[in-house]
Amino acid sequence: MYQYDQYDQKAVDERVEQYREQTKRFLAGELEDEEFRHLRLRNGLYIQTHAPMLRVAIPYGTLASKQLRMLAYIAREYDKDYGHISTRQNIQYNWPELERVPDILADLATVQMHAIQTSGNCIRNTTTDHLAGVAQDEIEDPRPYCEIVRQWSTFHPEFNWLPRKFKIAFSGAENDRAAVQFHDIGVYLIKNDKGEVGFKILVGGGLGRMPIVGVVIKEFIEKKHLLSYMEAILRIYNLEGRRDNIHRARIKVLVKAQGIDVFREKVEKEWERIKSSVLQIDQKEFDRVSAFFTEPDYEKNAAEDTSLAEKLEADKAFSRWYKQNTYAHKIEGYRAVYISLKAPGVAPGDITSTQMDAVADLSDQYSFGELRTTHDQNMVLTDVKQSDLYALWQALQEHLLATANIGTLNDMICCPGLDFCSLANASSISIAKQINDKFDDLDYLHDLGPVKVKMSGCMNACGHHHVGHIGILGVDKKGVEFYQFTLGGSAETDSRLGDRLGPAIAKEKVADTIEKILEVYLSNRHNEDETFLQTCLRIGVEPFKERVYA
Amino acid sequence: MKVIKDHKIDNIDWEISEQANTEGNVIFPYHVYAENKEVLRSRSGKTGVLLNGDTAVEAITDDLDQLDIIALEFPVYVDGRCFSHASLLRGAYNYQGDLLAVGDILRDQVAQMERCGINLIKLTEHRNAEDALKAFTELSTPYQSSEDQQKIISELR
Repeated sequence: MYQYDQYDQKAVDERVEQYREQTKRFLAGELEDEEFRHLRLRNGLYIQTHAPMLRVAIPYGTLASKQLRMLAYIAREYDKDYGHISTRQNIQYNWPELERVPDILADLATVQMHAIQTSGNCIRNTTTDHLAGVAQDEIEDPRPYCEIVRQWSTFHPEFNWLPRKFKIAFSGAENDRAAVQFHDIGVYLIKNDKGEVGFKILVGGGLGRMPIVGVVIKEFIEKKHLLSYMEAILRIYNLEGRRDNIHRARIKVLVKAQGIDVFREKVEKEWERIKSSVLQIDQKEFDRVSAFFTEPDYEKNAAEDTSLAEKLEADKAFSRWYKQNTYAHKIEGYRAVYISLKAPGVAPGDITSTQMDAVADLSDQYSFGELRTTHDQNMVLTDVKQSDLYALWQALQEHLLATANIGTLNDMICCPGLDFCSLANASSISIAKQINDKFDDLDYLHDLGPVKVKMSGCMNACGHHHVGHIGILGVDKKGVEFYQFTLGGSAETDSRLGDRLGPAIAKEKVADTIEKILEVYLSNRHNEDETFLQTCLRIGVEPFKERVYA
Repeated sequence: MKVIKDHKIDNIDWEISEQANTEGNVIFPYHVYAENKEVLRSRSGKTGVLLNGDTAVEAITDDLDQLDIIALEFPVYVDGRCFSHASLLRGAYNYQGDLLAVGDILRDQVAQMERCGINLIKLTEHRNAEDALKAFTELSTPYQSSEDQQKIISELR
């Protein structure tokens, strides 16, 4: 993975000191609340219902074991012993003290980490496929480009006071695992007719109050133009994006209002002017950054192992975990292993400091000392030899990290909700528990196949409910919590927004409603190969509506 | 007018006025400038124009060689349009005169302004200009090229 040089390190160290001074000025009363708010947000610090919340960047979801140990240390030393993995692959701490945040940042900087631009109206952490570099369907590893964008966007002087936040995601694979089409800028690595790899660029996607799938602004662009094209998009957005209404300020509103053709024309004109400037990326820089993302030292005869087949035969629980929580790897004899952060009774995406330390050790032992965080709020050890899977599974079990539910109904995406967030209408975490309690039969869950449940506590959609196969949105009706369902959404290659099921449902009926929805699926699917989403799209929302509101 | 110039507090001999007949070195708001362009050409003092965020820089790009100063007015500090206006004036239109930031400006924005090509900053009255001088050196080496002449990280590597 990428390693800081003296310049990267200095930039982060200086930002820590700058933030320390900003905090001091605030505490000394020299900085007004509102001014400090904008400054602290640009360093990931929110003030929430109970306490501040600090969001730490995990650039494109890649972590070294040493970094995860530091995250564990921070949870223990400064927080209540756990962290929460967000849908943008970052980690959030819910209980830090404002006065101690500069110290947390200083600790993070010792392992090349930071909280720079994890909030505020600026360019946020770039995200990508958690299987980048190991996926079988990959055209090219997107991580070097994510890192190039990370550096370009860090402290960009012109784009630090945008109309609204700005999120960028990359995918280098045929199957989109990064929700690329729901980002302000989405980038796919693609091959053109001549066999050259370049980028397809989408703009104006997003969830929130106005969910919309991004549209293609550039079908194909040479790699060297990546930054100049992004800069052109950002400049037009910074100049023309709405600033009169926070709910109409994202780039998606601008693109929709102007129409993609008009918007593209402006971007192209600006891009023509700057594309041959220093923004053009030279091969030397690509080579420099790519050199950090070379393949680890895979064992050549890993596939000759016979122990895996024996264990799969002998141990049903292991075999279920293998089927559900491991994923094909480009190298024969290796698997990518999902670490489920969705154990029953645990808030989705939460991980304790002890678990973090354990995962760090396991990544050293079994996966070249690296791991990833995922958009679905889990973790992945990307490079595990098949002969190590059984031992790894046993170790994960000890730490409650081996629930065989990846991709199932219980692998919910969920925002922190009323328990932590000052915006929420709904206690998403207790709903997650209600669902977990109801659907605790793993055989039933596996029979259902992939069902992505995504839940948000309010219309800001941090839990991506619009793109859940089953989406659940918390709404407030005269002080009482209700839940609005949508069906048939997807954030993958076939991205679409879910259709509304009908009137919102009482809190205690949420799990029962899901059960009814699943019954309709099971009685309508052609066969076991037809997924919930496919059935949903084929029969439409009506049959579900009839059953739920009968 | 008291401004930050070359990382020091300095006075510049300019005033902002809405009256087209004001003498001396005067910065006129764009609407005054646009309505009195011909008259203003024969003034004896130097002439500048003030753009608030709402007016695109293209409104004045034909006149750049006659403008000694352009003031960019930040209506509120969260409104970052003027950063792009400065970038465009320097980068796209090669404007060589003074670029002055006025309006609602935070101490913690002055370094970003300088990087976008703004060379004079009139800090909002109640903010501490002495303290703001420290802000220029807090982040020493930038990643991205911009309109100032700083060496960037990729050139140092």
